[in-house]
Amino acid sequence: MCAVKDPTSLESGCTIIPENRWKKDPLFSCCCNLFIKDILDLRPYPSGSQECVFVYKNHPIRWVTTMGIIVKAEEKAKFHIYAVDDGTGVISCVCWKPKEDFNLRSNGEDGAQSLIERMENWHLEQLSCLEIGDLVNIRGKLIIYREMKQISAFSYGKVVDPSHTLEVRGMQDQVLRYTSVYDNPLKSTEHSGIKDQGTEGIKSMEGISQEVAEKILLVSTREKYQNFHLYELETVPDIYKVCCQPCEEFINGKENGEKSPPSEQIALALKNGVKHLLEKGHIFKSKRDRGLLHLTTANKDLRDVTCRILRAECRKQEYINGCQFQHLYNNIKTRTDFQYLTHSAMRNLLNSLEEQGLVISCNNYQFLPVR
Amino acid sequence: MSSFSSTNIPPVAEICHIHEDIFSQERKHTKRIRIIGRLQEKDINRHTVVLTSPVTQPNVKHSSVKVCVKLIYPFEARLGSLYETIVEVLQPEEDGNLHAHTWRCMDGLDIIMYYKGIQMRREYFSQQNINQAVPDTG
Repeated sequence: MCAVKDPTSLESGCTIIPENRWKKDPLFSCCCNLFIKDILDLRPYPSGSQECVFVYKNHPIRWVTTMGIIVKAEEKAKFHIYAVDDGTGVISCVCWKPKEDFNLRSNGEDGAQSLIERMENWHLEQLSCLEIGDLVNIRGKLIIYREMKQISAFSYGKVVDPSHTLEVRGMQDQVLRYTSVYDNPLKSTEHSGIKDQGTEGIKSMEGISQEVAEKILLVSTREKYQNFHLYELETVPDIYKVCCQPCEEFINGKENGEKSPPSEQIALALKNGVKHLLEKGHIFKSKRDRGLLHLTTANKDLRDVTCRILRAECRKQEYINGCQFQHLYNNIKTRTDFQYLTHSAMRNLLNSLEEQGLVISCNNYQFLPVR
Repeated sequence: MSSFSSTNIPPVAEICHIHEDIFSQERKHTKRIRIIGRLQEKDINRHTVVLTSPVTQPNVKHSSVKVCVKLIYPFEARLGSLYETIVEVLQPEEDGNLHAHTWRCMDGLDIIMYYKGIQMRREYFSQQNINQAVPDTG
């Protein structure tokens, strides 16, 4: 005896997509043409806090569209309820009536008023023309009302097609959509940039760039570099090795790592790694030599200039209790060599001087030199 | 807002062909079916019509069905036209008739493409059943 698995449940091999990545799935933003029997079997998405988002394979579904025959109809004051049958299941659809107070009425010419009235009457005729046995196309949001699924329609209408091609083509296209789109689970990547199933070791460019930045700092500190050019980093074996890791943006569908990584990957990884270090203030650019990058805490000239300016300013009456950060920063930036020094680099430098015992930080982000 | 309760919603109407055995063991639990047929005869006094299969099938036992259209109002039908109807399958011992709940003219339909669409659906569902069947380990 065999048990039949629920096709809409999360199968093994389908990872749950976190809620902040649902927008990357195109099915989340479109009306999915599912069979009604599958719509009725949908369950709420496990990782979601939003109501009325359901799971098919691991796709988040909120809007659906269906074409079927009306098998039951009921009219209420503000809406119609239709039970629609597509041959696989029956679902009830709530179709709201248009508002009676039509704000576009003009008080002017008779021609404009009669046109609006004719449009209203035509629309109401269309609504009242939906009867049992009519083929309708309904698009709407899937909701749960009193523990039953129903479609709250935002678009509905009778299918008027003398040759019935829409209906026949719709049946065939629906099966094709299932095989090509709906039944293929969405693959997810973790935030660290590493793929979680079957493709271990492949990282995103963001992950590789961060590793390159850390490696550059490590090598610079170990080898006691004071400055470097971008192109010189490629010649360092440790840094080059990190750049050559398999990257998901550059992988060409080949699973073995025999092919060497493209030069664009290495250049991009180094460029992004250096960008990270600039943003965090570990390095700063040189004014005289544009390609030269200086390490903030290893630059002796910068250290000496900072200490000298601090001692000079703290002799003045207004800075006797300490020189403020912004004043010190503005003074240092007047020097030609340090015009490209950033705030974060300045902070790193002052922290480093304090660790060495050359500077003391006071209240209100002020600094005093140690005499 | 309101909705139909689970008891009010009509059962699903499975799409069938007239030449298939409607009262077979496979469809023992089917309460409603949807069929397409060409109108061959109509009896206004008894409110019955005879629908024949739109595609001639050699060596086929069931090529026509008798349908009671008492519930269809207004009932308009032309002999020779193609119609689609959702019928309720009652027990054959009672009157052998299928009672129609909906009636739709399908003149202009490409019947071969329609049958192809139904065949694609059935193949997809049978493939899904094969993929989802989990062998019992007990």
